[in-house]
Amino acid sequence: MNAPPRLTLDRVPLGVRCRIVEAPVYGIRFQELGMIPGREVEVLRRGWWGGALVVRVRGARLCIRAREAVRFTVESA
Amino acid sequence: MHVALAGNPNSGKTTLFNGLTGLQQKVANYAGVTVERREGRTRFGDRDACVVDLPGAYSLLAHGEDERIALNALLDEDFDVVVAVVDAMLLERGLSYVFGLQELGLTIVVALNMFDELEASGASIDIEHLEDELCCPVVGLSAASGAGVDLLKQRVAEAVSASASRRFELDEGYEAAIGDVAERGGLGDGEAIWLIGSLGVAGEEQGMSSDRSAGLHALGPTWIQPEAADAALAKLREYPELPASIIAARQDSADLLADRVFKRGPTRVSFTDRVDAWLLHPVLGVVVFATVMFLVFQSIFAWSDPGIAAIESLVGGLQGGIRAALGSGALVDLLADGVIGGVGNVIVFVPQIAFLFALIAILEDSGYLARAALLSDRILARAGLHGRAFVPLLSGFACAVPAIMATRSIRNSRDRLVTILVTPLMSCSARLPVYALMISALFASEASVWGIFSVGGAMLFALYALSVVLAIVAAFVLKRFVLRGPTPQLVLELPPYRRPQLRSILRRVAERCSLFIKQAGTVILAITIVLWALLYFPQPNREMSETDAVEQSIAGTIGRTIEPVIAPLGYNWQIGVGLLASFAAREVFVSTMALVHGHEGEAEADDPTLRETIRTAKDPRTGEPLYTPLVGLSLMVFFLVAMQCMSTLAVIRRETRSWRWPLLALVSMNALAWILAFVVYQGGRALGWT
Repeated sequence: MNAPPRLTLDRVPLGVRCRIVEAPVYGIRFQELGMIPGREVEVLRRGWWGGALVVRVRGARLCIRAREAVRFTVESA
Repeated sequence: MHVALAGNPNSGKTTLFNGLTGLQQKVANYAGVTVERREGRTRFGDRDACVVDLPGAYSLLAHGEDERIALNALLDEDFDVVVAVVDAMLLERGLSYVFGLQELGLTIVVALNMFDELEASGASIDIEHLEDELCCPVVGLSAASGAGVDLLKQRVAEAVSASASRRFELDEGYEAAIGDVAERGGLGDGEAIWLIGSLGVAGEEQGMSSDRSAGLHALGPTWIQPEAADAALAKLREYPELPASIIAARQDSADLLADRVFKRGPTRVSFTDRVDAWLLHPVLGVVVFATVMFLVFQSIFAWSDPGIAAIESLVGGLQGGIRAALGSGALVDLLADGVIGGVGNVIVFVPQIAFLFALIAILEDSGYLARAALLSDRILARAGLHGRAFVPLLSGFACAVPAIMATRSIRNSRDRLVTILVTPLMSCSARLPVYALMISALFASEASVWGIFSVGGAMLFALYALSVVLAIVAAFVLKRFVLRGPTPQLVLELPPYRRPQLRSILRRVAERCSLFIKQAGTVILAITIVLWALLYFPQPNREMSETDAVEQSIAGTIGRTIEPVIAPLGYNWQIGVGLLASFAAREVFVSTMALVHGHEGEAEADDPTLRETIRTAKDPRTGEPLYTPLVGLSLMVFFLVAMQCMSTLAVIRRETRSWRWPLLALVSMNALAWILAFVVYQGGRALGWT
């Protein structure tokens, strides 16, 4: 069976739920807020000119910059 | 009893604290409002208690100064009970925090706040089951309405022993590493886990070095032995992923427990998601943001005019009444011009201050401010500012002192310093009276733009926008040339939208207005009396006109001495006296203008208001207007940039623990103010403006 395609979090279309498969080892603040492998994330909004993203993780809405979202690899949930 | 309120940011700790103690600490609907510990007293059952409200944190690993304050209190102070305040709608995340407290062996009562919102959403939490699982009391409550708070008090009074320590399980290698740190450091497992995580955070901030002292310095508690830190650092080098694994294991435990006790309501698109679809739209969201900000300043100008007119009339009436009752003489002049005129001309701006704070409070309580941070992040990131810099910068519109304290939520010291240094450039409420006086006196402030907006409101918006631009440019320059470093990360929580509570808004408005009036009645009154004396003495001889007498007074002499420095900016010696006096408090400028022109014999009982006096003031030698729109513009730009606030300098000194940075702010901001005012005035003249 084919593995689900992987992409970085910044490229996930709006409203799509995905699962984090790789996250930076460093970035404890992200980890505390639930941005760790295995966790489900949904991209809710995208800022203007490729700015910040709003994602839902563990029920909370978090705002992170696109340049940081690049560091998270995800696959469809 | 000694009781702490701890929990995630924006979980309602301060609302609960206010409800328990009867105090009125600031609350708002975004993370990071509380940045210092606060104490109050209450009774739990028949026991008298000291309640401590701690800044919010997502875990017991301190990332910033505010979280360090909370952590140090929890680890070093001997609390009888820690009330873990959990947002019931975010149970999983709250439980992760509760587990962290339990790992350290603290006595806990869990307060599931916003339980009413949870029930309204159709969800439920099995509290009895949760109590059994956590082995500690759990209370569902609403801190905002007060429902359940009495039960919480009862459960806190009963909670006397530490709940059973809860612990997740890790892979064998990690467990051995934790055991090794615990053994070598003489710590419990929970303390060893905390130490490893904390040194992990310190490593992220300072680089994962082997420098034990740097790591220990970043931590608060004094009970950590160097051997323990050595052992933890050695394990971190061996297992750099250990802190992440600990966090993941704790979250997995919390999620599993939440799954057992939390029953979700019907799945539907929430109100917040529906509103965010519009307000966070890439294009529409920016338009709405700009419009909201524009309307805020429009309304400050448009709606407060009746209030201003009423106070002006009251002040004029009082002055006239005193003169009619007491006749003339030095004492009457002091009372009418010095006390009533000086203070009255400052108090006249209370309606505008009230509107400014009411509108900011509505934006804060609704949850829109956090969205504004998101919308403006693209620009802040370009300037190298931390994502959390938005809240301090916006608070700077009110007052730089609490705004600078709000930078405690920024963990990186360099990023925090940049935010501290640019925050005073945000146009604070003390500048508002100066802008309002100049705009209403020298510009057609009531005239409309496109039949919709007033010129005054548009000018006010432009001034505040200019202050934002200057702050961003200053941050860019500081990050590029002085405090170089990578653009910091942004992790910001967006709260759900909530209906602003009228009582909370009115309370904050009343608090800020009373502070403003108190300042007018103390500092400004004292300075005004001193200034009055400086303008009144030495007494002129009989042949001298009143205008000459003021010019020959002590204040006039001082003003004329500095006139060559300020003349290129378009200012006369009267403005010079006002500028000097405003270094004590910016608002004093307004009362000084009233005094200077009152002494010129134009402020009799039935005299025009200060605005009209400024508008019609003429140079006695040339007959030309003393104040032109160009002079007003130059003056507003000067006030917008200049550092004239002793309290701000003091708080910069306290927060940076150095004189270097407040001195830099003082010199650079005042030099920049002079240069920009010069450019505006001389540039305007070159273009043929008056």
